[in-house]
Formats: sequence, structure tokens, C-alpha cells
Amino acid sequence: MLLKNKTILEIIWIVAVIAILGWAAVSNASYTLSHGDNIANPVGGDPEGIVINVTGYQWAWQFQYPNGTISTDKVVLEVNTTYTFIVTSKDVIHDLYIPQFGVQVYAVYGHPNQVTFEPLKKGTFIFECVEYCGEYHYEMRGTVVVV
Amino acid sequence: MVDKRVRTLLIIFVEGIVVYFITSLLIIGPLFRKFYVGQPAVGLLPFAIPYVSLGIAVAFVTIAMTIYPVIKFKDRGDVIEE
Repeated sequence: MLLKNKTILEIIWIVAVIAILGWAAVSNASYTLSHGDNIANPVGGDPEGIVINVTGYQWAWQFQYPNGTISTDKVVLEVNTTYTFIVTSKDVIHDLYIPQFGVQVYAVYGHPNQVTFEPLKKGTFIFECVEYCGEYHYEMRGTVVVV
Repeated sequence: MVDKRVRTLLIIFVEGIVVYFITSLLIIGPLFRKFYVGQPAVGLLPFAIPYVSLGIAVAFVTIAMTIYPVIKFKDRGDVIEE
């Protein structure tokens, strides 16, 4: 057998695997515990930055700015500014996903969730619904314009 | 003297480490830094780049360990008696 009597090699193998998995677990846990606002949570406490109310419905996304202005399938944000999206739904469950900011939050009827993020670069980026929500699910996409 | 096949295994491991560094420094790192443009994504890059690069390196080591003995030593396992 190839590894017969190769105790040291086997120990190295086991220790290396434990070390890698341990590092992954510790780094995940430490980041998650220290960046709770960046992970979607039920609404509660004081939201950080500018609050934008987001409503998902079959089949579009509506954004309401603090001054009351409403836009559909397009949201304009300022670079290097912190925003909190409070996301809910008018009907079925949707899921707002902005890949380039690392933002993903479920839109659930009667259960608003919030997520805090900050655009760091100007440009136009895509967001979309990533929870299958009906026949025209694919139409639930739009753009984030960072100016 | 290290056994020939154990040496091969160690060489594959070392190659895996090289693949990890090449992937993280030249492929996944630049690609992720270009793609992600906001927090929390940018804050996660120090974790995301090593995770993905490690995954690719592990895949390389696994595939290399599987196919290398077959190619190099014509090692096709034991003949199983019916």
C-alpha cells in the first residue's frame, strides 16, 4: 500500500485539513459577528445612512427615497455614501440581489428586512430578483446608477 | 530515501501550492477586485479570494492525484476476480 507506515505524512494531512477548515470557520464567524448590518436582518434599531424603502411586487422593484420620490426598476445612489435598504414585498416572496455590492435580501410580505451597504465606485450595475416568483420573474431586474 | 510514489504525491502538493498562488495573485484576485465595487463585497475580498483560490488548488491536487499515477505508472489498480 502506498501510504503504509507513513504516519508522519498522514498526521501532516490531517493537521493541514483541520488547519484550513478551522481558518475558514474562524474567519467566517469573526466577519459575520462584526458586520451584522451588512447581512440582511429583520428591521430593528436605528438604520445606518440614508434609508430607501424597497418594495418588490410581480414583477418590478419600487424604490422610495427619503424625500418621497418613487422610481421603478432603477435606483440612483451617491458614491461613498452609506445606504440602508428596507425591503418588503406586496405579494409573493422576492429576493433582491446586487452582486457587485455583495447585497442580497429577501422581500417578504409583512416582514421587512434591512441591509446596509456602500457603493465605492461610480457606474451602472445590475440588480435582479433571484427568487423565482412567477411567470415574469425574469422581468424583475433593473439598474443601480452610482453617481 | 523517500518512496518514488510518495515523492510524486509531495510534488503534486507543492504544485497545488503554486497553483494556489498563481490563481489568487493573477486570476481570482484581479478578477474579483475589478468586479466587486461596494461594501460589504469589497470587505469580504480578503476571505473570498483565498477561499476560491484554495478551491481551485484543491481541485487541481485531486485531479492530479487521480490521473497522474495512471499516466505515469500505468497503475490501474488490482484486478478484481469475478
